[in-house]
Amino acid sequence: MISIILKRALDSVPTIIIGITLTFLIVHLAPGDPGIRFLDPSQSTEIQQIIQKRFGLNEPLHIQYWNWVKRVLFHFDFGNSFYNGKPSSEALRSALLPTILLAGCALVFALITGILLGILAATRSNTFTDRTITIIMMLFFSTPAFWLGIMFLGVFSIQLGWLPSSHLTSLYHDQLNTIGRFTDYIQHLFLPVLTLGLPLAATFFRYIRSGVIEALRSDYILGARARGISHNKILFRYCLKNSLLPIISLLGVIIPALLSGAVIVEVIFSLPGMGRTMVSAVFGRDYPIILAASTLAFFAVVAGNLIADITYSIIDPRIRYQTRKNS
Amino acid sequence: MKRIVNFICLDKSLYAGSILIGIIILFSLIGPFLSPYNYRSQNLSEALQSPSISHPLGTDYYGRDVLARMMHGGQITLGIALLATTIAVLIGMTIGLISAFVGGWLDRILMRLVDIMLGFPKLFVILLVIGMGYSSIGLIILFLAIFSWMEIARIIRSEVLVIKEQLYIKSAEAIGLRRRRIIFIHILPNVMGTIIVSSVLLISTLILIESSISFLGLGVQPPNASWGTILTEGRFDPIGTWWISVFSGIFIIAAIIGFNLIGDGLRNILDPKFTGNS
Amino acid sequence: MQAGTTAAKTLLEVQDLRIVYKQKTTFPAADQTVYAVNGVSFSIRQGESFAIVGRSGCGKTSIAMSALGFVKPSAGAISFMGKNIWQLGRKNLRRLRPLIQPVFQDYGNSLNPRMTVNKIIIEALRAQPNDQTHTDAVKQLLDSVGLDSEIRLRFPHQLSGGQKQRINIARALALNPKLLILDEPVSSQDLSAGVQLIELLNRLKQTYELSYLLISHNLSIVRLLSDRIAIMKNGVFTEQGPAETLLQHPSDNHTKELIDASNLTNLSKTGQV
Repeated sequence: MISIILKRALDSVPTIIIGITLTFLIVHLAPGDPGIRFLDPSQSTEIQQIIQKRFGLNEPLHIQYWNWVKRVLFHFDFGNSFYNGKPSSEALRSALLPTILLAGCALVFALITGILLGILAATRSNTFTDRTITIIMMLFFSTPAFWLGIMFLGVFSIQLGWLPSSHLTSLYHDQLNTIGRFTDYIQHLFLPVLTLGLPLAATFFRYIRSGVIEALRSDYILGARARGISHNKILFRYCLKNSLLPIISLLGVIIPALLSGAVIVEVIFSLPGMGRTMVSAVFGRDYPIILAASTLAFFAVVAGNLIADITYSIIDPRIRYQTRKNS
Repeated sequence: MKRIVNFICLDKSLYAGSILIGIIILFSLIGPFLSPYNYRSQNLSEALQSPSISHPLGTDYYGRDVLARMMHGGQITLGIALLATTIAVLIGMTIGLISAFVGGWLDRILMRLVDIMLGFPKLFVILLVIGMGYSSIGLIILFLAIFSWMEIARIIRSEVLVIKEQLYIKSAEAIGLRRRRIIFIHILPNVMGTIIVSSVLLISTLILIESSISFLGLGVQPPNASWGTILTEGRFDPIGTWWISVFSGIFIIAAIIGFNLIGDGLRNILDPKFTGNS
Repeated sequence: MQAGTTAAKTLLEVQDLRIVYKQKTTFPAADQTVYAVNGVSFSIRQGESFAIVGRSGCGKTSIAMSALGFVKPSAGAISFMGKNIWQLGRKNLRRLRPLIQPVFQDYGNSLNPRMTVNKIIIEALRAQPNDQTHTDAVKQLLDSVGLDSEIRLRFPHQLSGGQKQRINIARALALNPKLLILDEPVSSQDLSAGVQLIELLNRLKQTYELSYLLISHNLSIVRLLSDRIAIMKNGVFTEQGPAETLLQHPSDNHTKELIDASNLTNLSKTGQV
């Protein structure tokens, strides 16, 4: 077991190295040098060079790369933001919490919704209930997060004024008591979580519904039923466990998708998370922040895959590392 | 033509999806010839009108007719998604076939590459690349393709590995056919179904990704506009200019649903459990 | 019947053939070697019909796959018309291949599901210059295996098992082969259809001057089709000789067992026919 985890972890090293190197190249070879970008074009080239030197952009690319790697590896220093001069790692640390909160809540919400609706639809398969749920879920499955977000924002925040439209906390958040802060978080996160979670719930729903329908038809479920095991026990013990397997194997895909989705949702609801930090860094050519955020994203995805693999091999001992990789 | 119609009628979702996509394509391609407005001609005196008879989908901040912009946006969005899918399928097919037929170390390296690229957070990387200034339409197509061929390569490789060992391929080898003929005439048609299904589903994924990036303002740049670009124009006032975001969103959703339906329908038909006559 | 064939040329010659399968196990790293064929020699003369009989897993199919150029032998030589087929190189092997044609046991799976019968046979006809128009050739081939030419336009899944098998034979014949390798040509389930097939195979052998390499587990069927028989067990021949001699005076215990088993099925089936 441990050797499997170790092997998987080693396998992901090239992904991280290649990913980060690629990011570095893209960032540094892209048109639009930050040294020139924020200057009046009439300024002399000397000032440009001073700025480039200050950011370390005057050296050859491979030396810049090597310096960056050295600083990250030995000092855990991702460099300072071109904008405010603060360390990038600090900026990211404060951006991490909103993103984790958002993605985690969305995942839990999607799992609960997907499973419950999936079982409901499967047990009533081909009835009016099933068809209605399936069509609604098909709609959510095909609805881009950004559109859902804008619609929620327009209707619930702007038109009805029920929920706040932006940020993770209210301005007076610090003056609230514990319960007040908690509800403040929920109010701010409700729409973003819904936006990120509903399309995901629809994905889960499809798998659970078809998995449970298939399991209900299978021989061993008929056998269990014949032995007089209760309906609910059959549903949750046998059918659900089987239909959860494909979802766990999907985790490796879901985590990057959640990260990507979070970018959009954070921009719409102005949440100070990773995605929003990343997008504004891309717009502003803030190289250190872009690189730090990408590094973190690659690690998150690799870690997610690792967790998915481990969970999978714990739940289903039949599937070993080797067979999964070959499939 | 009649055979195509008959084929489409085999499956309900294929039928619904084809009609939906057919309408969208006709709307985007023929629409501009019927519309009295140009997608980029501004008329500030008519800015921000809500839907009316002369402007069925209203006008935007610069007084441009939203309906005309939707037609143009359809061309851009569908064009990007279709071209990128084509390139991705070609790359994926080539790499999958090479991997399956050459095998050995080349297979290991290529599949490793697939693993590595699948490990990338896709939207994140595409957003970075395109956002860093490579935002011409040609480059958007290219980068979308470069980050989307992996699933297809993997599917083709595993399918070909299975089919290669089938006795009808052994029989074709025993006949003494050339390898090229065996690959293209005997193996590929048997993989084609899977390729078509996954490429149709890829089209809808790419529509989603492209419009997400354009929505963030990093993708298709003015004066061109994809549906995502148009949506972004209505984003800051979702109530006051509701027609911009609602209608562009509906087009995006309709296209995604359409391609998903076609993909599902084709999968149903090609599923061996399906008992229809081919 | 054998009197005239002694002078005939040797078509296929197998010398000390060994086929080893390596079973790879990564963890623990101990590769296992399995000897599927462990030193087998025989030859088939032109016009002759040779059968390898043994229980499943004895290695008989490996010999066939090796003679078809699919499984590389670990040692030994397989020569066809004097040429060692494993030393020909890919291009020359491809040119030789039409002369050795298989009819696989799983005949349903041997037809490309996306091609019509017509196309399947034309693929084989393309391999050699042909005076006739292809459609005529296809019709003639179908006729020679006793199938109606209407069947041309069907897909494999629209055919019965017996029809599929005959199409496999027709495809093989399209190439004017010298040697047909027949893997379990007659299933023991349906003996009445089997008798017809045996008649067909014997007739084709005459008209097309074919040689057969038969692979089977059933002696009672093999005796109706072959001139010489080899009994195979655990990768080696335990006994080989002319069909009638071997069946009437078996020297090996394993041969006796196989004869007993065949007689049993033979009696029970022929009793109903």
